[in-house]
Amino acid sequence: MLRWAFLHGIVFGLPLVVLTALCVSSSSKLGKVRPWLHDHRSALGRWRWAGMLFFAWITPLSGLMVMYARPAAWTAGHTGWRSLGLPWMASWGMMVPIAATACVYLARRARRRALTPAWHRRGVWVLMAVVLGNTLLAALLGSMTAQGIFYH
Amino acid sequence: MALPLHQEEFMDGLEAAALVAAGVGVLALGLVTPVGAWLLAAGRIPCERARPVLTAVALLLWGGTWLLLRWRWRGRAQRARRVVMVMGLLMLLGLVAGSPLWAGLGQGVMLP
Repeated sequence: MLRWAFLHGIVFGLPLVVLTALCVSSSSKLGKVRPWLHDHRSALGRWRWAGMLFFAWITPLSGLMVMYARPAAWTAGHTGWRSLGLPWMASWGMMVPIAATACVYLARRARRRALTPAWHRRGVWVLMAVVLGNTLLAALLGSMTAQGIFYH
Repeated sequence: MALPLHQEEFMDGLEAAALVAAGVGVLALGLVTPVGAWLLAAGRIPCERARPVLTAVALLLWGGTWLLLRWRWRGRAQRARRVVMVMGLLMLLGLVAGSPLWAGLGQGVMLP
């Protein structure tokens, strides 16, 4: 049973962490005077943002669906609804796609202009901090919950 | 804190709408766990019914706020400092309210 939680984390969570880190790195370049960044945009960069958005939605939604349908499959030895993964996934986990969607929207708006205002960039950084922080906490707390660390 | 108008930085209305809506959505999702715990205690509504409904309501609030603010702020620049501060405050409150540590430290919040 436990292997499904780990498989979910590896297949969906790990690419999300990597893609979010790459997008944080690329968003630091937004708003600076680099005309070539505006003119030339690699296909890889386009897929990076699209991929982050895809994994940001699919990770908590698939986790929620599995947990609502078969809660026992998500916990090790703690069957039924006594799973801390559920309230966590329904609140903190679902914050990731909201912040990621706003990030992708803002980045798209930023690329259509030559220059980004400073406050715009700060907004992107707040959102990115939420996405990356929540994703990393997802990996940490999710695996701790699956191992039953919160139960005594 | 308030800058003179000629020094104040402004943000496009559509971008401001996306940022504020993200803050509202994160706060609404953060309230899923405490509101669900209250429903469980007050109304004896089981969390397996309350949780998906509250999550869906939070997502609808996010989408509705975004659409409403897009419509209200289209073509109207907003004060950038205020927008980012409001978003940050809403997100902070949402992160605190929806923290899994409450469930871990408390007596099994929102658990049956």
